[in-house]
Amino acid sequence: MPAVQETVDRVRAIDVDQYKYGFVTEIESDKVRKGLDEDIVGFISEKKAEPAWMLEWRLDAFRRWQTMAEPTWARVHYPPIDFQDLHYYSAPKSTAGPKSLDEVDPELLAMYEKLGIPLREREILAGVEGAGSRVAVDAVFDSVSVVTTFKEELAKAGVIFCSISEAVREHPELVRRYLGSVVPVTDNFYATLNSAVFSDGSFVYIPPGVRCPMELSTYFRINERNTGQFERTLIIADKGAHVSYLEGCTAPMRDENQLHAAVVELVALDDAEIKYSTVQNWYPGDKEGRGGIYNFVTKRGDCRGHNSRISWTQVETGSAITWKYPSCILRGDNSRGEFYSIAVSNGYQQVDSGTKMIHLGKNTSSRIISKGISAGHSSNTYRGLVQAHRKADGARNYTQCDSLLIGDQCGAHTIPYIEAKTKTAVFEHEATTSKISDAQLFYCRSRGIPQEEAVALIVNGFVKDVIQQLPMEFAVEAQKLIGVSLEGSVG
Amino acid sequence: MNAEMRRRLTAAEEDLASRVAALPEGSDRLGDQRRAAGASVVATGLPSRRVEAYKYTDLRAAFGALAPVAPPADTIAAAAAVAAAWDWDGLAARRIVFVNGRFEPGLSTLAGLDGAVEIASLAERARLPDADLPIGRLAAGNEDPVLALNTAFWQDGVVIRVAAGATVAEPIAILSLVVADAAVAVTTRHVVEVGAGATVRFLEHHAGPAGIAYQASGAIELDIADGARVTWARLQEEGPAALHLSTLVARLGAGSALDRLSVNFGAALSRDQGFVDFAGRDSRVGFEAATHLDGRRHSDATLVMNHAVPDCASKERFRAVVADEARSVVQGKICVAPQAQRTDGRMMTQAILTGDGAEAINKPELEIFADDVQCGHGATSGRLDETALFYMRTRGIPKAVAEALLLEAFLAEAIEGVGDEAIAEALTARLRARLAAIGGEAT
Repeated sequence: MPAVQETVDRVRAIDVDQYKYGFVTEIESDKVRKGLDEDIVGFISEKKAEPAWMLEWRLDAFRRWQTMAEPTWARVHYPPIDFQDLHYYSAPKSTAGPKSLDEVDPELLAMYEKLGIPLREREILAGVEGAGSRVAVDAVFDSVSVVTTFKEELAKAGVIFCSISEAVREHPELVRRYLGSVVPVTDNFYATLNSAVFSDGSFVYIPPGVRCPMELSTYFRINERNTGQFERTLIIADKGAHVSYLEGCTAPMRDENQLHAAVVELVALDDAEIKYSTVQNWYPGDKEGRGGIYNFVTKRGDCRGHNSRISWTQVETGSAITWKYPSCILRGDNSRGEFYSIAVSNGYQQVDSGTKMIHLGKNTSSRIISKGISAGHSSNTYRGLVQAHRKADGARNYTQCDSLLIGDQCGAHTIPYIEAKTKTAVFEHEATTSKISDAQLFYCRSRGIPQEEAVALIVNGFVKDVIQQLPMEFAVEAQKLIGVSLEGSVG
Repeated sequence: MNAEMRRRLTAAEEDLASRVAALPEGSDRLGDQRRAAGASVVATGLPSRRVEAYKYTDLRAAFGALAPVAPPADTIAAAAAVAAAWDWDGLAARRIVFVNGRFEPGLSTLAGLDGAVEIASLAERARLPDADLPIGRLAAGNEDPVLALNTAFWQDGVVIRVAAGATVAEPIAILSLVVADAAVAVTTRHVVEVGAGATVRFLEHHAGPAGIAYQASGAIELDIADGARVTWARLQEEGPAALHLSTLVARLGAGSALDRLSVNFGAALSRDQGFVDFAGRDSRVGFEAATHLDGRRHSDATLVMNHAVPDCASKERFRAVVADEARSVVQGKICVAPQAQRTDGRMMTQAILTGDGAEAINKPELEIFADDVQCGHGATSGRLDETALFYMRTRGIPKAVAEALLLEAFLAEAIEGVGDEAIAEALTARLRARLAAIGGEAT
């Protein structure tokens, strides 16, 4: 059945020309010359006052990157990127190590206020939300971390939350041990590029047995023209630790495309749990498909310890092109991976996204729920891998991916790879709403609820399940973005 | 992926290049077609796992060497092979027989065949001056390398034309046998044209000697005109060391129907690929596959269902039982073009793994550009249902028997999906015999 009017209206309301975060902040910046060579890599490393081993690591990555070719297998099309025509480092001039918020450029503070990002701890404490919903923020502006809030309070709990460049200096033993251990330097073209030139990002370490006292978040903002943003995030949850992390991103409206190639690595040791949520709202380009961010991201979590758990939740509405597959390597016995995703594409956006669940340990389980909604001239592809290795006794996966098309100019595609290499693995993959809801529909209808209402009821209940995976702060925003009925879904 | 890696030719690829170079010169259409198809595979190489459609079935690795083209079989041996071949429990009374890739009119039983069916050998037609063979009409634009190899090297085949409006009572069987005591290559190509409003059933059977690593390739172009109904059942029982490649290219006119069943028991490595195009409205395709694999066999079922027009329905069901260290691969893709509104496409792939080293790989794809459609797929893999087994054992059924019964029920459901009772019964009996034989070995 075709999409209902309500759905069409709601999706139109979040159309590309409604992008609210497209303003540019006029701020003097410190930009390195265009191009990429060993000098630039050295320059970035020097700017960050990094130790020699870090520079060596970067240079090694850069040399490997030069031998690699861009991946072309994704279902996205774009003109070739000139990697020498980008600035690989850009930072607001006045923020060279501000001691407090008072030293931060007021223009910057005004921008974050406009974006609704709370940087003043006092205000948050006094805010109407109450102390219960405090969120520590690491704000990354172009290539640098501007400020990280609540650091002292987190430190009391033993939690380290700082920018990755600070971590390289202050906690080299942790960084050396874990950086590149989940996403190896040679993983893929963009991850290798990131390893060479990453400028900033967040670092989180939760010590054993600690439940992080508040939500942690990073807010990414690209402001400068012709710059690429290469952030690197590393989160380590030690034995029995628990952390919930949020990520948000926006960028100004510009006619040219900008590159964002991030790497996110999560490590969960025994009994640890990491919950990673993203509301991705990069500038998607205008109605004719001009401009927008190329979002080429490598995100991977390693359930290294027994009984560990990693959960990815993402709401994707922005970017001209999205190419990302947040994955879980289920190495520890009884570990669990989850992936909840809602991807809305409109205008000329192209999304090729999904997940990988690699079952290695015994009795591992994973769950994938993916909803794609495409409208306008967009293309929305779910691409996922579920794999149980020979020794992954008792591996269990449940996958559901649904897509909804609005209009006949867009495309929705589903490409799952399901590889069971042990007979003890039980995999279920569903991509039909009617299939899963036949029994539920019958139940509703036998109680006198008309078909249409019954469908709406079941579907809304289901979307709610996904939304509930988001921390409260993001759930409201996400609800606005995806509060759509999924009637007429196709697998 | 490293840039500019030069591909090193395998022995089979080198041999392939010289065979393509040795294709007869000449300016005829058929020769051009063979040379162009051969050159396209030489250019890309045999498909390896780096080619998405062959990700799980690496033919570059599988072809150690290209076997020599099979010589004509000895008359007595060929006759013996035909006499020994299964006759679909009496259903295959009219048989078109191919031995070692050659049409054997003397061994075929075409007498009494419905007058509405016209059958001719492709090789014979090709010898006529200015022969205009219908080969490649449906396959134009299809760049699949396995199909291209077939186009380049087919030895023989049949053109079957079913007259418009005819209802052919008896099924037409096509039997492809291999008689050899060393590795040989056998390549056949058939073109089947079913006239408007006709109704016809086909049976396709492949068999060959055990212990010989022969290479069998077959391709069928099936053109179904408006309002025609076709049932096509195939049983692949190649020898356990054989390599079997099969391609079906089908086009359906308006208001037509195709029910296709593929039962796979044989070959060390097999790939059964289908490319189905809907060319007219209100047509329907049912695609069923039942596969039973043991040992270290590898079976690949690949299907591209192309909904190019509105109001068509396709339903696919792939079922596989995978024992020992065998591997089942299913790649099914439903494509819905922007204008193909009100398409109904459903695909289900299910595997039961019974062996400790067994693998099931499913890749059910959807590519949808129309908004008013109902498409979906499901995929499951797992073990036999322990509760069902337990239930049967509490009723005194021995474990091996209970397992065989459950596996039979699982695969028979796909076989029955073909919608033709006689064919389904014959094939279910064949399945039962196979399960009993394998169960007997195990105990």
